Amino acid sequence: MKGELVQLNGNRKQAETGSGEGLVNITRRRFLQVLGATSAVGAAACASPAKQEILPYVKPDPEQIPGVAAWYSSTCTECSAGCGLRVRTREGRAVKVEGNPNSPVNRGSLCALGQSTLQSLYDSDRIRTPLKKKGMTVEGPVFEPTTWDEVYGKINEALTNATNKKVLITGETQAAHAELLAPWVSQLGFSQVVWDPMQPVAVAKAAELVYGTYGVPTFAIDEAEVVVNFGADFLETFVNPVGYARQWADSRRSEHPLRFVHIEPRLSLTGANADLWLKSNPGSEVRAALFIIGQLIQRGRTQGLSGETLSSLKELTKGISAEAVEEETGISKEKLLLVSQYLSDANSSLVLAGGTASSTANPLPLQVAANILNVMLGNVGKTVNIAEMATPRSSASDLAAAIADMQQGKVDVLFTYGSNPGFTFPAAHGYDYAVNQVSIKGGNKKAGLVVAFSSFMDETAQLADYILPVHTGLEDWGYTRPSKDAISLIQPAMRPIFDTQSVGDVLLTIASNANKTVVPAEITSFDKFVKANFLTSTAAQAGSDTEKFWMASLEKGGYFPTSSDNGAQKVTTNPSIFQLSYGISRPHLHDDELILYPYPSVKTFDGRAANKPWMQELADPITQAVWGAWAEIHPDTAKKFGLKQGDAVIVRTDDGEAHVPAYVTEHVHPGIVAIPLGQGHSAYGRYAKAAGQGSVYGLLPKSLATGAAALPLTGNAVKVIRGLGTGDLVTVQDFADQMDRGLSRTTIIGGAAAAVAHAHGDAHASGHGDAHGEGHGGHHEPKQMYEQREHPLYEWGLAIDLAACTGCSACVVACQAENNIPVVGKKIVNQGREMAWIRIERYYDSIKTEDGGEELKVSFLPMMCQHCQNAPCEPVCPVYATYHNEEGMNAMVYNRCVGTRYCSNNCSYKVRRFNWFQYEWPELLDWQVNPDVTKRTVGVMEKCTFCVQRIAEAKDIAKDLGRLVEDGEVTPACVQTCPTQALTFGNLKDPKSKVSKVAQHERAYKVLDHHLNTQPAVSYLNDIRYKA
Amino acid sequence: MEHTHSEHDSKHEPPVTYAEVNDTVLKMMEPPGTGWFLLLFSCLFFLAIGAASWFYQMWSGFGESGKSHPIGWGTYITNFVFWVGIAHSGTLISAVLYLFRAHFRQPIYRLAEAMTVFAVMTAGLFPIIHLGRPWYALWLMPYPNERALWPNFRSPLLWDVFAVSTYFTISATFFFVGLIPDIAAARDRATTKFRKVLYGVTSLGWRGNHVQWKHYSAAYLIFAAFATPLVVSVHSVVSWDFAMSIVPGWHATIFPPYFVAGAIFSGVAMVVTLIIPLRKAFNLHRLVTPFHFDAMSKLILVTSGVVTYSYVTEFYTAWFSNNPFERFQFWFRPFGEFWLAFWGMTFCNCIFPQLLWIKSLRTNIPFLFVLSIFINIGMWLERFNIIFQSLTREYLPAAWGGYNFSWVEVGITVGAFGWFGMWMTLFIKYFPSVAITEIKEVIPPPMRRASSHSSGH
Repeated sequence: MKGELVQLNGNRKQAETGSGEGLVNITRRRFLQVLGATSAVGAAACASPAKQEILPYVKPDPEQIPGVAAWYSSTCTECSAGCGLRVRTREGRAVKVEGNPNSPVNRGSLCALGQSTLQSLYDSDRIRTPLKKKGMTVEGPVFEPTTWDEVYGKINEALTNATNKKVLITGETQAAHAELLAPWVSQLGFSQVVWDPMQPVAVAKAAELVYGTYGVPTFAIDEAEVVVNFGADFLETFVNPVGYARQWADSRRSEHPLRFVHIEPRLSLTGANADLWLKSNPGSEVRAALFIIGQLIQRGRTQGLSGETLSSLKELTKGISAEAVEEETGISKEKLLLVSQYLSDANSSLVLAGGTASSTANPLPLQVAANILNVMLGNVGKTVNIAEMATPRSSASDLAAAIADMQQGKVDVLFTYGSNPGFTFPAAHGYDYAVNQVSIKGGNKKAGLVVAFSSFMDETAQLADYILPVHTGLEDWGYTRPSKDAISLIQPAMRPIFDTQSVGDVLLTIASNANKTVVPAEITSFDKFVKANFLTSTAAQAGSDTEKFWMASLEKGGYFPTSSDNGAQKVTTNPSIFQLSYGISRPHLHDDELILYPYPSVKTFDGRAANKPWMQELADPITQAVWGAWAEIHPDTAKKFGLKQGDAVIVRTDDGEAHVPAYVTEHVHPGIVAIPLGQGHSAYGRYAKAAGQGSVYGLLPKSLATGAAALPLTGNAVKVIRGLGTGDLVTVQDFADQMDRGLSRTTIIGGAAAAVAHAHGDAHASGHGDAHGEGHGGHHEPKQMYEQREHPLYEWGLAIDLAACTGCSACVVACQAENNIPVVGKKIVNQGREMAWIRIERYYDSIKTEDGGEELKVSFLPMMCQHCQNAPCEPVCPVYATYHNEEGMNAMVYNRCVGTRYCSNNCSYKVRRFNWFQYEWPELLDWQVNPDVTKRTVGVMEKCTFCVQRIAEAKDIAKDLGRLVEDGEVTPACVQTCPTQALTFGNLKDPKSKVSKVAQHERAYKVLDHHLNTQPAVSYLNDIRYKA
Repeated sequence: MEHTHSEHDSKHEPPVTYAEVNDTVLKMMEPPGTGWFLLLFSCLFFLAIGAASWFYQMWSGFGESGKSHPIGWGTYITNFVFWVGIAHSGTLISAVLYLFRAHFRQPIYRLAEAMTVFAVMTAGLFPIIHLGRPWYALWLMPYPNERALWPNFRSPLLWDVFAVSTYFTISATFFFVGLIPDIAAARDRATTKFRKVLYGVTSLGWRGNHVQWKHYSAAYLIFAAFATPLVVSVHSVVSWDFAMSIVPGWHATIFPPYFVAGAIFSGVAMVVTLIIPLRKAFNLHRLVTPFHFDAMSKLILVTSGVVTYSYVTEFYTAWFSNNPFERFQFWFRPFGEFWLAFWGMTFCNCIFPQLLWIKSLRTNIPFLFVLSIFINIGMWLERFNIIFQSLTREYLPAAWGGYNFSWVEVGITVGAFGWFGMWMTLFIKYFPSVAITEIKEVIPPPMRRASSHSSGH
């Protein structure tokens, strides 16, 4: 790390003076260097760096005040969305990440994976030094430490001797790497293959066919009145889940919420948030889309179409009858007509397709149909922005070709970085064998060399001859380009922990060793490259004092111009789309077969999150399962296969098998077996390996998708066999029925006019089954024999808008990171002893439809300590370990707790967590522990504190300024990270505070309060659903 | 004892004499044989298992017990209530029945009192064992400290501390006072040095003169009066641990009388369980007669009725309240996942004891022994149903959960029986288990003529 870090104006000194505008500290991070050196000594197991300094703490760096956090702006590198980060460091160590409010991508929020990026940095199984393969054992390859010089020497030798191809496999890299790699690849004669299974390449390809440009358009979900979605999980993993979730929620809680229809074979988290969730036959979605196109043509909603396209479309949709489509898709024709009606009536709408629906063997027809719908409805230029496109480069066909080359001995040198084809590419292609061909035989014995630039020992890295350990995202430089003009900077938040280097520097060193010029001579390191490119890109804005602009941008997190490109939105549709096959793509099934339906989840994505214990222990919002994969199967199918919940299941194809426990649920199509992607690692660290078997990639056939460079993830026939015994399924919630207890409530709005009508009498709709008419809201007069409590200055409160909560669980991970909540492992979770302070309760309700039927309504209820004014936990504690403080909070004194657990028994919300064992953080993960929060000891109770450490910090600053804490100055970790800002926190004592206003909303209520008079400080706002 | 005679007259057995009482009772205290040592060592063995389990639990973490997040209390608190319940009948039999002059108490009350004291000693362990940090159990006591930290007097757990410790103090004192004349009798016959010292000290210089008897009678009456309200209070307070909470299935106003009746029920059953083998082993047939068993059976029958009525009332209240949480809880107990525990309890406590309406079964010793064991099990299940079933199904269905029984809990439960058994075993060998004094009060005093008859026996 040769550059300079720029800290945000977050520290106390600056808060006191009130300065902030453009003020930056430019001192060198002496302190960090010292600390970095000492930590390197601490990590004595690895080879010591050449230079070590151990200096006494005599004159502290002005930027580093012990006990005060320093914040650095950066960009998240966990997925390719490029969310802005603010990294909180304490005494030189990153302890928490939050979203950067300046970033237009995520506007201050982060998803669960983003929150857990700290566990990439502090992964206990990180590669700490350059490694050289020593040999193979039964348990896998064995490596021994080596030196950077040796590996660089080997690389140079191999490059000199190579006569055949040289291949570089990367992930969907950040823009800085892409821009460095462009000249690098051509100068060094490499062919680059990009592989990232999460890239929606079918979406990009279909955009090329219908809109005329290859790329993933930017969607304006909040500007649509109706969203019809074929499988695009935009609230989970699709393109930019944080940004899209915010757009979706902004509309849902507005006066005119969008109406959301989701069509898919398996209930996803995104589908769970739909007004109307339609379970389709797998692979039949394109038929529904065509039917809707036909309906819109009949209704004359074709304004965006050229005459030629329209006539071809008429031809295409001519013979499609409602009855036939009902038969093909499994969706009733009434519902399909209703959806057509919604689209036809809406002034603005959006049709999305993607996710699992576009990872079939023939994904293009559905994508094209969705795009055509957008064109004919006039959405292009309104809700679909084709001037701002992300262009995924990931290509399954390139990778397949490269593997074939490698197998045939046509490749001498293979470098891998940021991609894990050893895991995420079908084993049928034989990547392992191909790599061995390169390293052992090669085309040329002198050259054969495989080097992985990797931070983790994943399936790809462990195949390499040499591994060069590289920085993780929080130690590295770089930038991403979230839109054409914007540039989001990646800045190290701390000194590298180990003997690692930036990938950029590795590439530059390799090039300079090979005497190739890939960058101008003055650019001697990657951070200089980043700075130079940034300043070039922003030359118009930088002005004369480029150094000042650079510093200001680093502090801000990048350069984010306000207007994005809404320019040319002209559509040029390629007539070849009518050559596609618009039939159902579904394999012929034998009796013992089902259709494989792998899906990416917020827990593991494509598998990249599997090494993070927070993500493993996070309860999947839909299944509530933790640690490892499972197979979702319909009850009828389960009966047919003789399976019960939790039974061991073997899912088998000709190419491999996966062992997973059965998860029986009505919310999947009876013909599919749905398995989350990304578990079943054979490498990638202890947590990934501990999560058990169940890799879906191993089941996939060798064939690739038609028309798009993607994998056919869904739609393959698999044999499902009952395994032996139980399959180790662990869920944290086993009951999904609210039992008419009115816990998570819903306001039903109906009709196209979106008239808000509260549906209190309707037990099914609102869950007010116990008919407490006055039970709405928390506005009733408190009734109790004791005097109401006094809160002289503050009364902290939280409000949760269920209409905005998607159940994404980012808050759960944020809380875990902020509050030192231990990860306890699968066995202890199975004993009902998970420690998370927030849980997202998931209930399956139903809503009555206009035609008298019932539709599924999934309710999420984030549940944390309610900080009751009349708390049941308080009077029962015999030692006053829990008590009510004068700021309205239910406080917990860990040191005083003797562990009777009476408080937990008496807590009607069951949010208290007991330390059944002494939980420890493994080495390195313990670096993340927040020094502001006590680590709890065995035998004491704990629970949500409203992040009391943050309240204390804000009060401390306010006290120095001689005033009270103002609204918005305290943000608990959950509130801060919520992608939809469904949570509002503040002082209820102040009637003008945001939380006071939200808590007085007409949708506001308090859980169980009307039964128990607990008077919680947490208010909930009814969820909103359209009556279908 | 007149009643005894009338029953025995039909069999033409000679009346019990003073000398026979002395002989029979004090014979129990003669140097132990192999059987006694076997009993003691098996008790010590179980105690060792319990101690080892507890130390393992403290060393490894409280998670070694079966609790989980919805279920903070389980086996240990069940054991606590069970043992407190057992402890009940002793004071009832000795104090309340003393005040009511119920004569059937005389041969059994000493054993019942001993059982009380040792059962409280057992019960008192469990609140400590169940703590997450038992090494800080002291903090439950209102002791003066420099930070002026007091316990929370609003917490039923604290009331428990006082109720149980008061009960222990009073019942132990009462027990000891009653023992004094008998210890003196033992002292007079003691042969070993150890026993001479032990009885010499514990008999407090009892000589049996009139002044001492006068003071003794007054003291005994006062303690009986003192202990009587405790019979009601201690188990009422224990029941408030549950009734004062808001857990559906716990929060019920019927709990105090319900628990007291249950405690007497289980206590009498436990007396029967203990006295039958003791009667056999030490040949107490002429002191503990079918008359006494008949009386205890009637007490069991009455309390079984009260307990059954309480069960019905609980269900009725749940239905009548229209409270969905209560209603669900009381639907869940008989028809939910753990129906076996509920129906097992119903059989043991409500149905099986009804056989005692048959007169011949009330004096059928083997039957009574089996029945008493069933009642003990049934009452353990009752507490388990209340504590465990209520906690598994509270307000939020998302937070419902189950229990993971562990061998540590089994070990500690077994250890508690070992601990109780150890004290009982030691007691019967070292102190008179049947009140010599009181039995002598009701049998005809020895006359010159009678004594020759007696000696000729």
